[in-house]
Amino acid sequence: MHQFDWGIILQHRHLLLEGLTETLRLVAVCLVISLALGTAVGVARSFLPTPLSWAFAAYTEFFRNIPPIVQFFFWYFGANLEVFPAAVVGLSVFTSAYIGEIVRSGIRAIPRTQIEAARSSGMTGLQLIWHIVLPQALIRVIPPLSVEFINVLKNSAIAMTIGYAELTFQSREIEAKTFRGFEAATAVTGLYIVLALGIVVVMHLFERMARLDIRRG
Amino acid sequence: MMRGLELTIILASLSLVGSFIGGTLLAVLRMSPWWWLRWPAILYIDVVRMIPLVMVIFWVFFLIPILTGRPVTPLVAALAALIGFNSSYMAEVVRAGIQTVPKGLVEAARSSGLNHLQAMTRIVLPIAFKNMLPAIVSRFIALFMGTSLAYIIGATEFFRAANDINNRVFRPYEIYTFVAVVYFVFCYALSLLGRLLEHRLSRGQQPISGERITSA
Repeated sequence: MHQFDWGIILQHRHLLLEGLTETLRLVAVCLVISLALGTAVGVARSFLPTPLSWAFAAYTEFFRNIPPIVQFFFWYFGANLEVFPAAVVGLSVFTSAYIGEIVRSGIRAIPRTQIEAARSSGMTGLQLIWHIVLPQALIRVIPPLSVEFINVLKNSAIAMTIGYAELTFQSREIEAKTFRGFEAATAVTGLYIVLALGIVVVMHLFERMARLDIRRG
Repeated sequence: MMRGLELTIILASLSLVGSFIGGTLLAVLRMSPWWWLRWPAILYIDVVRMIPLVMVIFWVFFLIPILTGRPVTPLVAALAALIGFNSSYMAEVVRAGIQTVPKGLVEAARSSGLNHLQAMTRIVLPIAFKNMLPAIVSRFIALFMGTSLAYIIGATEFFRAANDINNRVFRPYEIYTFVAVVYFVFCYALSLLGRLLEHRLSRGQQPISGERITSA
């Protein structure tokens, strides 16, 4: 029977902590970039005239239909970026394709009459998008967005394949040092669950705050 | 590389079948009236959805030898991981599918003398399955992309095969572009198929949307 040795996790906690920091760094940067990029894509697809919006549709279809690991490898080995930029570009672009779709669905849910009303009250296109469309669209899509944010966390693990020293990478390090792959993998899995729950809680609080804000007017 | 592509398709297809069975089982458990069946299913579904697929693959790769006392081939480990991972997503698809079947139909089946299991397998699941098709296609795309991660434990699927070639000829730019295009062609074609199915089914029925709004 296999003998478990959970002590190795405490022994190597500095590795796990390093990995945790790197994972958080990558995820934080990618969340910001992919949210900005994805929102831009979603808005562009919804409001630009046909030939232009097709370009953004092509962007979406292209980047969401290629496995993230291939995109990481392309940016790292093919385009010769450094590890961290390659991971950021790969993960952000992949995610932005999905966030673009989420934002677009949020925009579609806004009644047309509101947009017409804003227009006839003299708002320009950008004002309309910034003050009327985006606040409502983004609040509506918080639940699917938080699922996608968890996906960013999960896909960040793929960055280990190009040698980025995040959590999963460190679990492999511990495995290589101690041959305790199962224990290391279990510990890191637990950390991922905690992080994902953190995202769920934060997004939920954020949604409640945003909705209260609206009610107050 | 052709062999690798073949393996990717086989791996994705087997995982699809496996995770459909697993997902159906989980969905049925999840909808069970008894909490001691329902709770473990909910726990499994929700927890697995929070873990990176890479981690699941490693985990299974280490877990199987501990359970069986024998080493496991990367391919078997990858298959088990993909099934275990995707089953939790599939369970939600199946559950949504079952919920599209009108309650009256179930009651009619029951009152015509079928028992719960018969009503499920003969009436509810076939109708639900049709409605689930677009979403199942989406899951297949996710699996197709997911197989590329079997690379990390050394299974020679398409991505690994491409890497092996790159290690020999070292033309990363060309090779990874080619790999990206192949994945794109497959996945995009599948997503068109999914959309077509959804369009066909939406006449008179309510298919579960296969809209791929999130990754993984």
